[in-house]
Amino acid sequence: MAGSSEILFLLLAPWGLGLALLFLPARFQQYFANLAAVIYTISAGKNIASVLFAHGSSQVSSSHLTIDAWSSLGWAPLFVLDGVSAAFILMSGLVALVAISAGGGWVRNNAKLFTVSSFATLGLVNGAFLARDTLVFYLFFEAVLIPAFLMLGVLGKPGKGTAALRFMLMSFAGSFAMLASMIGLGWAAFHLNGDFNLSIDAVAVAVQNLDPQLQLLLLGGFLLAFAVKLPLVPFHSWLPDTYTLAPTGGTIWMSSVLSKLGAYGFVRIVLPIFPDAMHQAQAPLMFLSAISVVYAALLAMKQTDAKRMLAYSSISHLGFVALGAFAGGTEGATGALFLALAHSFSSAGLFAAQSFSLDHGVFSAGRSLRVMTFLLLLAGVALPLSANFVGEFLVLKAAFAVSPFAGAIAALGVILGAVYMFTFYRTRYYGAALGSGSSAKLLPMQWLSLAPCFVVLLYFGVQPSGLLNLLGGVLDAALVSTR
Amino acid sequence: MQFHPWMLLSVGTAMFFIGLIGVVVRRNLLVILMCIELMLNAGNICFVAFSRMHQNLNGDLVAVFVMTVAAAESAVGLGLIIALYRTLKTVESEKLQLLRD
Amino acid sequence: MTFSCIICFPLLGALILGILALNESSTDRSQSGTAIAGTIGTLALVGAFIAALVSFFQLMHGEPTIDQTLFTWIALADLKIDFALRLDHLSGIFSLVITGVGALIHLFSVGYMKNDATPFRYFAYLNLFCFMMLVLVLGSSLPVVFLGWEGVGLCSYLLIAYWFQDPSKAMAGQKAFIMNRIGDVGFLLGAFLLFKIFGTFELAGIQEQATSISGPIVTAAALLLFIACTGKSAQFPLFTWLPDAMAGPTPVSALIHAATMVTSGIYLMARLSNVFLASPIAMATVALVGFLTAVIAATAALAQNDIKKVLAYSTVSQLGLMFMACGVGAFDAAVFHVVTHAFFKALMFLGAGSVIHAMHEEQDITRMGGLKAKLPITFATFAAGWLAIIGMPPFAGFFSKDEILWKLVSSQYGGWLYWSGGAVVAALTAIYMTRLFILTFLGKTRAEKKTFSSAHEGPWTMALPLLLLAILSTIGGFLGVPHSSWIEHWLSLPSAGSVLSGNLEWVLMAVSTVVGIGFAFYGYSRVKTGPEKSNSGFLKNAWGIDTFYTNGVVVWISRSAQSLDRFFEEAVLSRFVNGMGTLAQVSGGAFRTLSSGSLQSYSLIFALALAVVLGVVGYGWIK
Repeated sequence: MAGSSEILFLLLAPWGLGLALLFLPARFQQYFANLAAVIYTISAGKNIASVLFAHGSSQVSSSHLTIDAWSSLGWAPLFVLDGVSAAFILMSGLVALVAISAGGGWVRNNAKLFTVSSFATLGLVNGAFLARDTLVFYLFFEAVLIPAFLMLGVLGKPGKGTAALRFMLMSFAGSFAMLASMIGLGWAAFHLNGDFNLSIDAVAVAVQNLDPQLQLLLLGGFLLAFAVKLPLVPFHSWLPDTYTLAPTGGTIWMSSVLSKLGAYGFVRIVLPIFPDAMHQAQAPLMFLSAISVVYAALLAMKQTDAKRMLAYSSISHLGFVALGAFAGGTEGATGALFLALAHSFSSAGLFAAQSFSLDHGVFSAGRSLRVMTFLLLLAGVALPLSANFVGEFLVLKAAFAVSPFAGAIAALGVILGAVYMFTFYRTRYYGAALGSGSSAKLLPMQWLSLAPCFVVLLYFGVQPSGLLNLLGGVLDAALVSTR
Repeated sequence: MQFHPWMLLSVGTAMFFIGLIGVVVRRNLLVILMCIELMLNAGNICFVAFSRMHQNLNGDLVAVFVMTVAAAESAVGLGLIIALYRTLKTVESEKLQLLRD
Repeated sequence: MTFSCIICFPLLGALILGILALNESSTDRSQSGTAIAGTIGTLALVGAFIAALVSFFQLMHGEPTIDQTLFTWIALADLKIDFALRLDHLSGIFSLVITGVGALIHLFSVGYMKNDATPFRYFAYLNLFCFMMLVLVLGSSLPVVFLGWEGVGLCSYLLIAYWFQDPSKAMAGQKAFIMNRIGDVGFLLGAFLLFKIFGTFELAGIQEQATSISGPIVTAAALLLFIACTGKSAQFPLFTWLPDAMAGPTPVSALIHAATMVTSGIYLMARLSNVFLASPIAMATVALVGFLTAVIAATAALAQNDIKKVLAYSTVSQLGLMFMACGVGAFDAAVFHVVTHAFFKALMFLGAGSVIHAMHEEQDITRMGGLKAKLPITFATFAAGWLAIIGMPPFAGFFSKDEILWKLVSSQYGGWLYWSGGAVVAALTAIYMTRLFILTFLGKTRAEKKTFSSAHEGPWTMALPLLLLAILSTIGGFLGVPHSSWIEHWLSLPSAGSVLSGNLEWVLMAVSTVVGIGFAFYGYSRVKTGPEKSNSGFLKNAWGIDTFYTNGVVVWISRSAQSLDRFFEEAVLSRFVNGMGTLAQVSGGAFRTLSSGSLQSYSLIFALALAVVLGVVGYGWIK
């Protein structure tokens, strides 16, 4: 049907580009990879626009693609491109640009592995964002771990082996719970209409007929997987080492895209399937995410390694995302996804910026870098006029409406966030202004990784309504039963 | 004295379990082989008893088959033990540790 | 159109100056930079002032409000938050003060920051601050006000830590920002609670609906908003950032910490006065906190030797007085005092700047004195400010302070207890301000010969603002003469009723004048022989509150984060996860014993399994 070719493009183009990069010598990898990322993002944008706005910009439509090759086995995977998937796909495309431009040790060591892994990740997350079938989503969700493992396990700093192992095992453990739940859902669908169908709509209907205790159990399986992925305290212990030891580009991929799989999956898959069970589990989950916010912020305050501090800061912000997702409703879910998108760019920018200021282990930063870091930092503390503020505002508003105390605890994260971010800036960059590198200029490649982040954050901080309504329209329709 | 099946069956069962315990407990491979033979024969006795119970020849027929198979199997087993003896110079089962770990 | 110019000019100025600042070299100290940057910045503010004046006249000619929606900011389903501005009587006054005093301070900075290395950056920040402050007072809904609220916090940080090469100054800036942020959380939670109660973020809508509601939930909202005011307006317990903020350039202190940012709290309370009036508990809390702050700060000001710190504590104390007024429902009087305080406090800060500039960055008043002859303009204008703050008629502070004192006793929420509290604060004010004035300007100098002999007045860019502010401090009070108070009539904020007769007011005014003069003499008599030998550490450290925060609260949080890290994160979580791995290994090892390679054990397991299977089958067969 119309629009399915665009979906195929989004699914396959990154693989094609990655394959092409395989044959280029290492010297040109970064430049060509950047070029490929830009071309991909622009064409993806055009494709998406032609699908979404096929009936004019006032009415947003969607398209879907069903693969019938295995329908004899009873499995017909379904991919849907709508407003929400589009936003996340475009975000990944831009993040690819940022990650590849961010350089880092990989440029010297093993450029090809990094760029090909990057495009593999891009292809796989596109699949995950487009999937409307729980099994397909699970496949892509798991498969994404492979390039991430390569980036950390091969290109990382010493200590990477243990970190990679822990990362993989914890992710597998969570996903295994999700697999078990999925099979349970399939049986429920089977009981209902004799068809072991794992597509989201079918499963959502089947779940209604289940016993509430059973619903909670199945929900728990999904929650475990996303709690490890997001992550939520106390399932986060894989994250600090992983983010710190991976190369900067790898960290950007993980913090900006992989963690969003958890948020996206939760809002688009779990919320529509388990409305009743979520109502029951809502309050404790919101408290858990509020605690996650504060706990991670407190730990961030005590870190001396900049990258590790940013890793904990990531956990803290994703706690906000989780808070909004658990609060539910159009406002909470939209705010959560909007904040997730904003956080992708702010954390990508900050990781890139801090890597640029480390020169042989010593902190030194020229004026442009200091200014850009400060501006990205302001987004990180959710100053109004940044996209992060809009997301946090909506999340807190929705959370406050449901559970004021959880909202109040999470709001403490606002204060603590300012503490560790400003301490980070004061101790590193004010000193750096006096250092030897204080008149250094930013390289064009470095601008290429910082500028998109800043522009996106500023634009969507001042004019978020377009994107908000795009997200909200889709989520509103999907979450009708949660209200 | 009237024939009761339980007479034969209890003898057979007892023989079977004696053979089973023998297989598990005894360490000499030859003795283990003999206990296996014992179990097979116990099974034969039980089949004969069933044949008498049901007043047909089915059980006897199976017993004949079993005897044939038992003969072949003991021939093979003895051959294995002899080959083993040639390698290990012993017939103690505890010495068969080549597959360990 | 003119209306939006009020905020557009400073924003444009900030953007232009900011872009130019990116290229300015920090080592090339040519002085023309300050002139250019200062001209752009000052013109932007002057333009904004003219726009504010024009709009104000429109209001005076009968229009109740001027509204303008610039664009839709956050829109999602039913929620629609526009970036909308509203000029009404209250915000009109505030915007005139901000742009007017701001323009004068910009002009002063041209002279004061002549030798600064990065003038474009300085004026960019100043313009940005004015923009944010104007957004704060002109915003028509809580989110827009919050934008300005956080924005001024940010600019305050940037300006306090302006000379960030000095670590203590950078730390002072961070402290200010963090304490402001604590207040911001109160703002957000209060805003959400108000939305929950009233269903809107629009200030006018909330104000309208708040007259018909009461109960614990309104009290909670009011108290949360008050926490926000506490952070921004430096009330107890979030006031310790203000004295530290004196690390920034003096004109910054004049603008931010005397005239504008710290008055945001009063603005918010005046704006949402009905919410506060609906909750007597909140009102009492406000008044008490205001009183406590005023007293702590006033006693601390008595013991300071840094000229700027005295003025800083004085600001905190005067703000406390304004909050006391709010606490008894006298919002008009509080705003009136905001206006007069802006005049004379900014004047005195600029005067202090002039002194510091003349004395080559000397700030310790024990090393000043005798500057009356050397700095005549500064002396005369500072004297105007001094007379205004101690409440000498007909200077501005007399009328506004007495209005507050009168309302403290006459309001239905007030009483003689409140009045005496206010009187105590007034007395202390008279003492410490007189002390400051005398030690700085009168008597024989205690400064070094070289510094003293080369002291001279600054250029006209510094003198003109001083003169203008002095004139305003002298005649500004006539805005609010009792019983024909123009400003009270203009504002007409909802307020508490009066329970005492008006004639008593004149009596009290006379009393407070006498009190003021008396205590001024007392201060004079104590100090005329020179500074005290030693200052009580307790008072100097503002009752040890700041030390408590630094050594108590911060250390406690830091230590708990540390133990959280060590005992929970590492021990529990990491060891738990690693323990899983060890568990897998150990259990694997246990199961390994099954494959022993021994024929006997294999056959035993075989037999046991057989027995189990037979048992199950037989069981099922028998059943």
